[in-house]
Amino acid sequence: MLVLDDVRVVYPDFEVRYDLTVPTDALCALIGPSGGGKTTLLHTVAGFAPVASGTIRFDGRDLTALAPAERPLSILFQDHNLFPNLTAAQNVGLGIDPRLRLDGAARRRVEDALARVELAGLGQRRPAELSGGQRQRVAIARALVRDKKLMLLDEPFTGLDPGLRADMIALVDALRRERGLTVLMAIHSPEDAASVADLVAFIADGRVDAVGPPSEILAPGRSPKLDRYFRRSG
Amino acid sequence: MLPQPIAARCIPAAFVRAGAGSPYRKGHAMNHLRAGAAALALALTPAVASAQAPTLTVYTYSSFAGAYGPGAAVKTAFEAECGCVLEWVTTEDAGTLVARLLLEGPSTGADIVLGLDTGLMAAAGTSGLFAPHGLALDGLDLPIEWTDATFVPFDWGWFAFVYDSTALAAPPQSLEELVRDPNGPMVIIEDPRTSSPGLGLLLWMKNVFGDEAADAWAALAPRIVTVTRGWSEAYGLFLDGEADMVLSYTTSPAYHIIAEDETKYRAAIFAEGHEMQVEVAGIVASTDQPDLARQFLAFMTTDAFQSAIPEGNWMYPAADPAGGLPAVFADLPRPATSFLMPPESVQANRRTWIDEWIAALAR
Amino acid sequence: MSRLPGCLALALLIGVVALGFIGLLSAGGSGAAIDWGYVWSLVRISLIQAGLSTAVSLVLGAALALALARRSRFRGRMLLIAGFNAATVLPAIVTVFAIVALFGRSGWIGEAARAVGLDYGSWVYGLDGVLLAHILLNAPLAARVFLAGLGAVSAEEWRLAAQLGMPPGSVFRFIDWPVLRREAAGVAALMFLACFSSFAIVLALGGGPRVSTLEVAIYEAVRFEADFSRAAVLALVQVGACAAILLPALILFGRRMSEAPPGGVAAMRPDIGSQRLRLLDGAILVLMGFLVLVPMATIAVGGVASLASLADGAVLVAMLTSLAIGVPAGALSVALALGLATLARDLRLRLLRPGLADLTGAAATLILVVSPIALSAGLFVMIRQWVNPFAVGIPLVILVNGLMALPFTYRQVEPPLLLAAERFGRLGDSLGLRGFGRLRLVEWPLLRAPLLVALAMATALSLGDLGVASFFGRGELVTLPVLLHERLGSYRVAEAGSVALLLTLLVAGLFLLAQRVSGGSIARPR
Repeated sequence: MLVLDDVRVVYPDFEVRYDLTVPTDALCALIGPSGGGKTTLLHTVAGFAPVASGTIRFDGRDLTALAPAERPLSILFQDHNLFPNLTAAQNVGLGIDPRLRLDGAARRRVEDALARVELAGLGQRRPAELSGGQRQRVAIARALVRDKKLMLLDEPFTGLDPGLRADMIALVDALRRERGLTVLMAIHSPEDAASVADLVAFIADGRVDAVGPPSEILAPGRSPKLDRYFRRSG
Repeated sequence: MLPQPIAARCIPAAFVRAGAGSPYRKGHAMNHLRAGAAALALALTPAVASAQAPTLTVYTYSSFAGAYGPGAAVKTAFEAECGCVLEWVTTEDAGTLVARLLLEGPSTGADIVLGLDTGLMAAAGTSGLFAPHGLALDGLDLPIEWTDATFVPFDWGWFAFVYDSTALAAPPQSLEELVRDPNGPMVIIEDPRTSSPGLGLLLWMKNVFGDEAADAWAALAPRIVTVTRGWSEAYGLFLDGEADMVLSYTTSPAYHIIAEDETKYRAAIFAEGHEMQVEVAGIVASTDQPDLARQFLAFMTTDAFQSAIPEGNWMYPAADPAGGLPAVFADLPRPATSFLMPPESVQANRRTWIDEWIAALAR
Repeated sequence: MSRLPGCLALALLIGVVALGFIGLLSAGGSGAAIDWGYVWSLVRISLIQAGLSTAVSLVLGAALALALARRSRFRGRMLLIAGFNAATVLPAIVTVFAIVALFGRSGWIGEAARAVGLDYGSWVYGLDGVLLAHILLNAPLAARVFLAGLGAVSAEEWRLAAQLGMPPGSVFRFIDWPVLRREAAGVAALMFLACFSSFAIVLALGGGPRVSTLEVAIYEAVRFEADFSRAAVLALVQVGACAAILLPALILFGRRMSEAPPGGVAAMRPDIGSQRLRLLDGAILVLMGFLVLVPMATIAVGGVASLASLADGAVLVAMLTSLAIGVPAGALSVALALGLATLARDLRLRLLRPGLADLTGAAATLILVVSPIALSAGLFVMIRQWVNPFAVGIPLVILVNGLMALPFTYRQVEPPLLLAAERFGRLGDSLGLRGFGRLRLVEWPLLRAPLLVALAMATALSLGDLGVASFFGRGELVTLPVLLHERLGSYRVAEAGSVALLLTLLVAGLFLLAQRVSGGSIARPR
């Protein structure tokens, strides 16, 4: 279970406060207006944001004070998930050893992970030689070899066309069922999440405004902010 | 020293030139400011020729006409007697002066070129750019006979190694000793390819050692700290304590005595004799003011000009002023023998001798 | 964007240089044969000297950039960077005296050594002294370029590195090293050419004709031999030799297109916590401070002794004259660099002729090895056929100084322009943004900081110029360097020192101003 218990993050020019609970193995979609605090929430869990008070726990373990690398999670950004000068396989390999000292077994794990995201045989390509969707698949493969139980995704499929986007989300969904991952995924279009998400959290003005199953959140009347959001986006 | 105080009027070119040259020597800050502003104004607008008085344009190197040189005094004195305007046009140094003159060729605006020496006369003298001066030149006080029909000397000096007598108690007594003593003093010299003193030393060595010059250079090489582009770097490094001796002039100590009241710097007088540097001026053949130009060259050997030389250019005047040399200059030790390599000889052999020098120092 | 300004800039660049060479060749000479053995020996030693200087400066510059990138926040960092920046444009003669004042026989170290009974003599004269001076000038230059490159690494890359738990070694290998390698070729070319044509430093600290440079022969041909065609040939040899090295190097190691990252946040580096790196960075900053800033401090100490000599109207006028030439020259240089870099970018991205783009960059860089004295002399000959050179003296000095600073301004301006195109090029195209509006909206935010630094640098370089101004002026232009030389040339060494101090402070002030106006240090563009 991932718990954000009254977590307060203070930046010079703005402040956010989160309360959120996501059960283990659940996929929680984060929706909300741009600038509302979705990315900051993910950065908070990942350890990139200056937490002023509150606690972040995952499976009973307090993550609040841990360095980013010590947290049992992987994160995918919208862009720049790969080091441009390394091959796809090397980028995945970094998930096993950040010094990239890989033995035969490790290299096989890399190949398996690439195959699992349907990139078998493309390991020697550099990011510039891959399509946008392929690049994000490489990043997912790296998350797989890292084998962390919590996965954070910050709108990683926003730039892709709708069909591809659905494929990617399906891939994430399949993987979390296979491996028992807890997934926190910020998304741009709420309808993408409807079919796969167990939970939808609506983030606005630096707060978790509403949480619930997709059917509840996507239905009107739950909260005024939510209604305004959908009217505006719909 | 200003001819006219003319702050309020709009600035005529004649004043601009006067202002730019003259007040530096002992004027106060306002004068400098005014002169500078005028210089800027001149710089930013094309020069307007002075309508009334004829202008004599003299090309020289910047330090002669600059803030510390004798140029301002010379200008004032000459203008007082010629009824003309003397205009200094300056370049970075004497070498650039020759280059620019040659590039301008016969259509140069220069009437006089002032500041060449033996090494540069070689390049400039054969170019046909200069007209004979036609002066008698019998009042000169040079250690050698001056017979050149084109160039008139205005000052001169001996090249010498200068040292700090508190640091170097027993300087070498001869060039031979300097060169041969393996434990002798460390020296800084100038590059003969880029500077007049550097070339001067090359000629000096040639005059003293003849065909053995290359060996002499090779013997001296281990004690040459460095070879600089010009005199300024060499002398500055010496004053910073980088070497025991520096190639300069026998008159260098006079500056320290007069300006700084410092007597520890001396020039070593060598038994064989010293190479001279004679600085000269000549009339540009294409001048449109031949009479005025000749008048200037004649004026150059008179007291009014010559008295500005010792403490302006820190050299010996070509003709001693009527009142004699300043005491400090008169008391400076003098070598018994003087050398002056003829310009033709420099012209003919410079390349070979420099190659020899390079080879000797690279040994 | 329009190619016209770039083409005009290129035409001006090539035109001026061509005019200079034609003028010089037409000015004639003795016709004496050139001793090619001698020329070759000069080229050879220049190659060795410039190669060594470049290699050492690259390594030290990279170390300094990394240390400054990792330590993005400490008191006096801005001042430190301004000091390093100022070092890159010190006039040669000031550099020489700064090096000697620290490392010379009677320098600070020499005196300290003597105090404990050691006398190590004059080791600073020779190749090592030349290297020291060139490091002082070039390592901070390399550091500046590297630092800007590191500053452009995306925030995500740093977060990813933190997430993956990269140890410092991996951060260096996977993030820093690619940036260093990408930027190295351009800045190395610049430094190599600067060292190849370095002149007063090589002579003063070289110890003798064994360490020499081709510029000596050019200088000699113009001044002592009045053999202008010989000077032209030698100057062409210098350009040719450098082109022969530069062009293949550009083809082999030239800028590869990178995935354009948005500007990063240096504070996000995951390796700043490492205790060992903290020590290393401290050591690097101390070492570079010792090699660069302490020599500069000797200028201050030397200058303070006769500070009173600055209270002279002539000094103020010289300063104003210098600025009146330097600022327009700097602005011209930046404008030309912008034009050329835009042209190069267009050639690279739109016309898909990266070779031509590299050639344009090479042209902007190669002017560095066009001998100033040869160019000035040649231009003088040509121009006087049409107008009185004195009448156009100031514009000419500004023009030549602006061109001479072009290699440095181009190097500053080109990367952010390319970055802007990679990041916003399509957006700008689709919005139909063109010309000045595009420059203001799309490029300006990325260009602001580097442009201001380029302006400061070009202005500073022009402030330090001596030779060019003296060739075209009538001598009425007493700039600070002219005053410096005048004082030095008339025994007034201490007073010259105070002018050197003023010049150094002026240059450092320019950089500080540029850094302030551009909003913070150059390391963090955002």
